[in-house]
This record gives sequence, structure tokens and C-alpha cells, in this order.
Amino acid sequence: MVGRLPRLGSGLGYRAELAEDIDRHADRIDWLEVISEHFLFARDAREHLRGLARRFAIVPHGVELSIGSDREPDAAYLEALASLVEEVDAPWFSDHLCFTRTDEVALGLLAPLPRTRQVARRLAGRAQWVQREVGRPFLLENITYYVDLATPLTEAQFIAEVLEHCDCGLLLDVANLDINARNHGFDPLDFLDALPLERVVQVHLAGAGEDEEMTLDTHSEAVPARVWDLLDEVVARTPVQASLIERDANFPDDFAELLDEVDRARTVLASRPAELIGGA
Amino acid sequence: MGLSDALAAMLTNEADLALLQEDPTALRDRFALTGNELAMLTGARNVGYRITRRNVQAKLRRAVGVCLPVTVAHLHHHHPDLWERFASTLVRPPQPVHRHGIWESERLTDWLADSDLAPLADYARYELERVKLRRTDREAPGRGPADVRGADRPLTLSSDVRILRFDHDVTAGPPLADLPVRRTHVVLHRPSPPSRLQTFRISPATARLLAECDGTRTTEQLVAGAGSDPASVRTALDRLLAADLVRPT
Repeated sequence: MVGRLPRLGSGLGYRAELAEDIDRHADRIDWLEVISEHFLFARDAREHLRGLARRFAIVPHGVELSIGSDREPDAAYLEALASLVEEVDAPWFSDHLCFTRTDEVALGLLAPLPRTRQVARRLAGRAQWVQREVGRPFLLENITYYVDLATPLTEAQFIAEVLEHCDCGLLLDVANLDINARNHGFDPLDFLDALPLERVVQVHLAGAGEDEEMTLDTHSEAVPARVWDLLDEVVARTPVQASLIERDANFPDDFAELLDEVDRARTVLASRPAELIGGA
Repeated sequence: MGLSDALAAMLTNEADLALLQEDPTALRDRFALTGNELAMLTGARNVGYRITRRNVQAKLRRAVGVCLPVTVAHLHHHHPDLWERFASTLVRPPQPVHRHGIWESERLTDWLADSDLAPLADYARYELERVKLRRTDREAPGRGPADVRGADRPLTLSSDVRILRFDHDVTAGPPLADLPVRRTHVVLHRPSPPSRLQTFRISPATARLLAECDGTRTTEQLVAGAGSDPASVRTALDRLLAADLVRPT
């Protein structure tokens, strides 16, 4: 289903704190990613989103599908997601390779799954079903995890196993890759080697925070050089249809800092020879 | 039960996390883990659990803070220990997306009332009702207020209205520790088209009149039942209709 997708270019994560600046600088931003849950059941917010969709390509990005939970995603949630995706005519939608809740407990964050072949295949089947229900291509994103379960598969092997058993795309969060590699001591290039990179449709870029013990996925800093280097590496290996700058905290006083990052990502994506660029 | 259940419990309950170190067999039995699953959990570094548990609490704080910003700011500055205890002990059950933060904020409101922090509990309830009203689905657009005035049909509250009663004057706002102790009736109104939520402090008589607009009485019946001052009741109803706080059914 992800065979031919439009090339969206370089986008920015839509946040209320950035709304006015995004409006003022719409000509510098190719597309917007919105948090699905902010718009699923909020009519007033949906009205606002319809306005945005007239000016930008919009991709809904979820944080609460919890595709790794034992229980199937809530039917009302999926129905609302399908409606949202159709309403903004999204080229695809995305969520994370994780679980956020069990039958008893809602964690409110993206928690790592046991990386086994059995779990990967079950998740793949679930993702395929979600994609069919929503009716648009579904991208799965690698998360940041601090609990590194002693699992039989590496993270990259797990993702590859999932993708082998469904035809969803990969939203490769390059910042998450960098953070995980540093926190858990693996080589990010080995990680890329193990992935079916031809399934990468979109990338996420962000800056991290530093704790005494680990690097934290805070989306609170400028995209660091390491992450830009990884983006170069990914783009050198495979065409990427869309990049996205994520900023959720410590918003810069000067919006130009984010626009410069959007520009830089666009330049990197465009650096790939045209004959190798996929998509419509 | 399985690994995800065990991990979720460990990330939300200090005692369950401690079991991993102190008595992994008990953890295995409690969550019906296989040997491999238990090995996956015991093979992970403690620092990862500690950071993720901290992040779970941070997400909880943020979810409540979005719903009850003034209450949470007050707790953060004036009762940090209480706030910490709340965030570290509350285990959130799965909720529908549109209820995000609501269940947690309800628990905090109850907890403040049980903690003898009545002014804070009142203000938390005030903020909670505001966020609930903002998230309530609107009725389909209907007739404007001017079209319905004078219609002789039973009156009911607009679905975009809430009537609330507090033991403190929540309309005085922060600092919350100094909220006046005063029985206060408040109407919350969400205007259409969307704009800022409106808050009106109303008299007990108006609160009673609004409560009687329950879909069983017409304007004339409400005026007739008003007793000594029917003219002022009629005027009040006209104003409530004009403001779209009540509507004919």
C-alpha cells in the first residue's frame, strides 16, 4: 500500500504554541503533522484543522493507538481516525511500535514491546488490519525506550520482522535512533543495515535532552549534528518522501531557528539524485 | 496476564518494581510470566525502569495540568509533597481519548477534598467543569435565541451551559489559598461560534430559576410559580433566553 506515495517535502509538527508562526510562514513549510488525538473528537479543533488542510498537506500522527496491546484498538477510535484521515485527505497516517496501555493500566507513554518474532507477527497483522480499516497507508514509527528488555531480537530485527509481515511503511525517527544507540550502546549504522530501508516513507528529526544517566527524548532542543548525519546516511541509502521537525518544548524565541531546520531537511531530501526519488 | 501487564505494573507501582529485584519469582507468579519473559525483565537495567517510571508520572502531571492549570500550579508551588504523592500513587485506567486527563483530574479533585484542602478542591472542580464543557460535543446548530423568544414551550438549559455551586468564591481566582469562603453560584456557558468560555456569577434565585428550566415548565408556568415578583422572573427568563442559556424544548 505504500508503493507510490506523494513526496511531501519538509514539514513541521503542528503545535498550538507554534500556530501563529506557522500561519505567518506557511510558504516556508511544505506540510504539517498533527497529533491525531487532538482532533479525533474535538469538533471545534476539527474546524480549525479543516482550515489548515486548505493550506497544507496534513498527516495525522497518533500516540494512543497502542497497536502492541493485547486488545484490539477501540472501534470508536479507529472510526474517528478514519474520518479524520479522510477529512484532511491525508496521504498516510502514523503511530508507534509500542503499547501505551494494558487492560488495566494506561501508561500515557510509549512503552517498549517484548521483541520476539511472535509479537512482531501479531503486531504486523494488527497493523495491516488497522490500515485496511482506516483506508490509507499506515506508517509505523520506532520509539525511544529506556527499558531495554533482554529480548531475542534487536530493535532493528524486530522492526524488520514486523515489516516483513505487513505492507505498512516505516516512519523512521532518526532522533530516536540516535538516542537509543547512545543509551543502549549500539551502532546506528548497524541498525540501518538491518532495516528494509526501502520501506521508509517519512523521517522524524528532533533534539534531545541530557539526563545524568541517559539521553532523553524531549523534543526540546535543536536537531543535533549527529541526527543530521544520520539523515544524510538514510537519504543516501533510500528515497524519503517526507521529513518532519518535531519541537514540543523549549520553543525558540526566534521561529527562524525552526524554519532553518525545515529548510535544511528539505535540502537533504533534495540532495538525492532525482532519478532515484520514488513516489508520484 | 503477561510481560506487558508486568511492565505496566512496575512502571506505575513502586512495590511491583521492587519485586523485580527482591522477589522475581513472586513477580513471575503474579503475572503468569514464562521464564523467558521474566528473563527479559530482569535483564533490563534499573536506570531504564527508573527513568520510564518518572516519565509516566510526568505524563500524568501534564495530563492533569492541561485540565487544571491553576490548581496544579498552586499545588506545585505550595504543596509539592502532596502533588508528588498524588502523581506517584495514582494508577490510570484506560480511558477513551476524549476523556484524556479528565478521570485523573476527577481523582485529584476528590483527593483534595479528602485532604482538607476545600478551597483547592472547589477551584479544581471549577476548572474541571470548564474543561468538561469545552470538550462536550455541541448540538447541531439550531435556531438563534431571537427566533425562540416568546415560544410557549417548556424551557430547558442549553446543552452548552452548566450550573455549579461552590462553598468558595471561585470567581475571585488565584491565589487559591485566599479564596473567599462564600456560597457561590456560577453559570458556565460555551458560546457558539466558539470563543472563550463565559463564566457568570449568579444569585441563588437565578440559580433556582435555572434549575427549574428542566424541560417540564413553560415560561408562563415558571412565572406563575415564582410567587411574589412575577415581573422580575419574566425579565430574568427573557435575559436567560436572550443569552442562550435556556432554550425552548
